[in-house]
Amino acid sequence: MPENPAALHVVGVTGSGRLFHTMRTPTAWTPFVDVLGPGAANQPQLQGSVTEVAAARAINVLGTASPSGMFSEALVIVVLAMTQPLPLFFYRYADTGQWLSMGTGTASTGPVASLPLALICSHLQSETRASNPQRICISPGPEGVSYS
Amino acid sequence: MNSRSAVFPSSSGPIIDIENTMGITRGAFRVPALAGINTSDGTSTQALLAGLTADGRMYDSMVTSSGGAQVLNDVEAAGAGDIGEFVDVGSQTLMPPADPTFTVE
Repeated sequence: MPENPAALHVVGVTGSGRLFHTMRTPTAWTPFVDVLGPGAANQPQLQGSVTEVAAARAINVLGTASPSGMFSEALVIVVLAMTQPLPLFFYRYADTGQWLSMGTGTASTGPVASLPLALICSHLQSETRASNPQRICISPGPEGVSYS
Repeated sequence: MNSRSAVFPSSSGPIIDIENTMGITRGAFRVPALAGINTSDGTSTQALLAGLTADGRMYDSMVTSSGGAQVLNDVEAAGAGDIGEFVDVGSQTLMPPADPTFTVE
């Protein structure tokens, strides 16, 4: 069932390096889902190592979970983990709540940047790197997604 | 890292100091993550955002381009669960953006 596009998705990193997702429905918040747990992305090697997260709306995402192989829009997150040299990208399949890996990204080239994505997330670019130099942002580009 | 959060409509409009408007008493509203729902109610454009208080509680808020933060919810207490201390947050809706957009500092 299509979810309400106006629903607010929130992802949070805990002090213990875990990553959780919740979504606000008209009546309540959905229970937190462990994004890296077996019921979601199933990435146990990343548990306890996440340091930062950012979220964005992506359109025309190519994915394996959808029967059509394409999502008109999807929630995409980029994650920094202490054990990984590069940011990790995940998207959420709304029909099942499953999280799927999109691999890693490099700054402006490489596997993630070459994906046919058009990310609209200008709101995420407001953090100043001077005050928080490790803050990650993801932004649209003519060739796909990039992060900084 | 920000110790306060203010939302700035990109076009002319008031700067909204969320802390002052909502009277947060748990400490600074930090690590704001703006989702930007941008749904017009006829008189203003609304934006959603999430953020953390100094003690790691997760809150969301809704602000309008005409001024004012209208809602502030403790996400964990509102049903998501009691996870513990959050250190970073991201938020987003799947609504396409519209003008005026917002930024947050």
